Amino acid sequence: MAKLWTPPPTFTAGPKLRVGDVNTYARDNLAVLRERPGAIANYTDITDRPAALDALAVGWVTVPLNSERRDSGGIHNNEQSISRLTAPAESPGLYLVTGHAQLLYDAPGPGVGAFRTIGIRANGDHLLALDNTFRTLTATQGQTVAVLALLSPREYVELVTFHDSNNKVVVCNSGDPLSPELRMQFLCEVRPSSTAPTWKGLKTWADDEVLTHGDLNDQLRDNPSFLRYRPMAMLAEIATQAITSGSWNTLNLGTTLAQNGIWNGTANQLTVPAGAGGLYLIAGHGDLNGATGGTVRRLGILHSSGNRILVKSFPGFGAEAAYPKWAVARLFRLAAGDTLKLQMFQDSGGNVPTENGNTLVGLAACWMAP
Amino acid sequence: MTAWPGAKTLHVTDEALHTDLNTFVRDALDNLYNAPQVQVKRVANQSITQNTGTNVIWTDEIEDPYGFHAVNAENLVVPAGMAGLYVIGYCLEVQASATASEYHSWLTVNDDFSIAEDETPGTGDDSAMTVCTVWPLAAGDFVNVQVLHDHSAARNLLAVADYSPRLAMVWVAP
Repeated sequence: MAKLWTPPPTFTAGPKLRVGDVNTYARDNLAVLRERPGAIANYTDITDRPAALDALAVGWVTVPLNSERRDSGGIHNNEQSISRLTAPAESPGLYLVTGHAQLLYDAPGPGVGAFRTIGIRANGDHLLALDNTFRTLTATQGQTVAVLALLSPREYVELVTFHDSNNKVVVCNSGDPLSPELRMQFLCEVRPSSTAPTWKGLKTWADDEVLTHGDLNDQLRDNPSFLRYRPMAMLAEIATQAITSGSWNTLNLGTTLAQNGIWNGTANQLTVPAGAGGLYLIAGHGDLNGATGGTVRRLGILHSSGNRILVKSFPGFGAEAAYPKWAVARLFRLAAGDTLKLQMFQDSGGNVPTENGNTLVGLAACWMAP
Repeated sequence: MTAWPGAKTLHVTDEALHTDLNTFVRDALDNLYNAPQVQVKRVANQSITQNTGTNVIWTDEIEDPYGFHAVNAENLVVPAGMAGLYVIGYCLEVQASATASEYHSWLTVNDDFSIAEDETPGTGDDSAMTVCTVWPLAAGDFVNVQVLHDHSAARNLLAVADYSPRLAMVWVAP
């Protein structure tokens, strides 16, 4: 079971520090910070994966997960609702969720039923992110989808697949690469206030040194709070947007889903707050509507340096329209003041709208290390 | 990064409080804050022979304060004392082909099995692929990235600032 975080108080001069306080705000809270809940679940015994394939009907199918590679926090239940990874009641907040599957392209051939999609769905009805590919030959197709997800207590995610073949498409149960697997890891909690957490540095105490409330606030309140409510932000956009042909378009991101610190001071971008520089996990996702023409469909994340730091392409379409869906993430160092924008590129020759729908269009970042 | 000191229950009669505070507060916070991390890249193209799974050779270290990588090595190796769950991700781009049907890349552990992959049919555009996931690693375990394509001749793994190719990992939990 996940352990319970106790929000530290503000220590003041006068009342004596109790040993119990140190046990709660040092021993217990630091243990909570270290043992962040996470799970890796898959289908069939991971030590004995059969070569047999499981057929999936046309349309959306939830992938069952009846085996666990790892589960700290009671996130997966092999016996009930086996497809779900559930956020523990004690650990609401931001999770990295990644899904992996090999889908077999089935007859009758290219140009008909060529799309293979995997996705992360929340609470049985809300798609968080999708990744699809366009297949031109009969073969297995390996895919990965990654998203930063905000989950309230007991909310859950599932791995889902979609195909449009005229026949059944199978999900491979394979040991290399591992298919299917759903992986989920708690990163941080959303802070109740907009006050940015601040790291105060480490203190070394000397023998007989007087304990001051200032030191206790820094080391038992502020530093653990920084790690619990680490700098992060999530932006999204509900309304669709026309992507013009032949150049990178910056996407609107008009909705702030969450932020620890103030990241949304400038529209349609994330701006790293002062004091929040470090190694970040950055994720972006979006869907583009169907269109033929051209050879390029791309999702990118633009950094304030002028370089894109992440690009995912969707090549290979032709007569059949491309309906690209991307959900990507990477680690990258950001400094205070750096900015991130989400972009798309297409060369169909005309405007193509985004498909916002359930998955919205989204950009997120979470501090991982200094 | 300081090794995790474990947890201690303090009692009213405990002496040497400063020692306990330094161990169970300072050192514990240091362990949690300074998570082991590494980022590597290439600044020049790497030729990928057709129909041959090829490990990416990482020629440059963006940062490697904990010693995961040896310059020009293919692998990131978990140092002693740094076992745990890692967030791992790569991004890369392979030169386009008008005739290829498959561009494929994998994140592999111990040259033994792959934990995530990305694949595109090729043709037309340069193929930009990426994965990001979490995986438990023991000290001595290593990860690398393989690339495959089926163009009729070699294709370049393209060096593009700031996303190709890149590999990074950071510790998140024990």
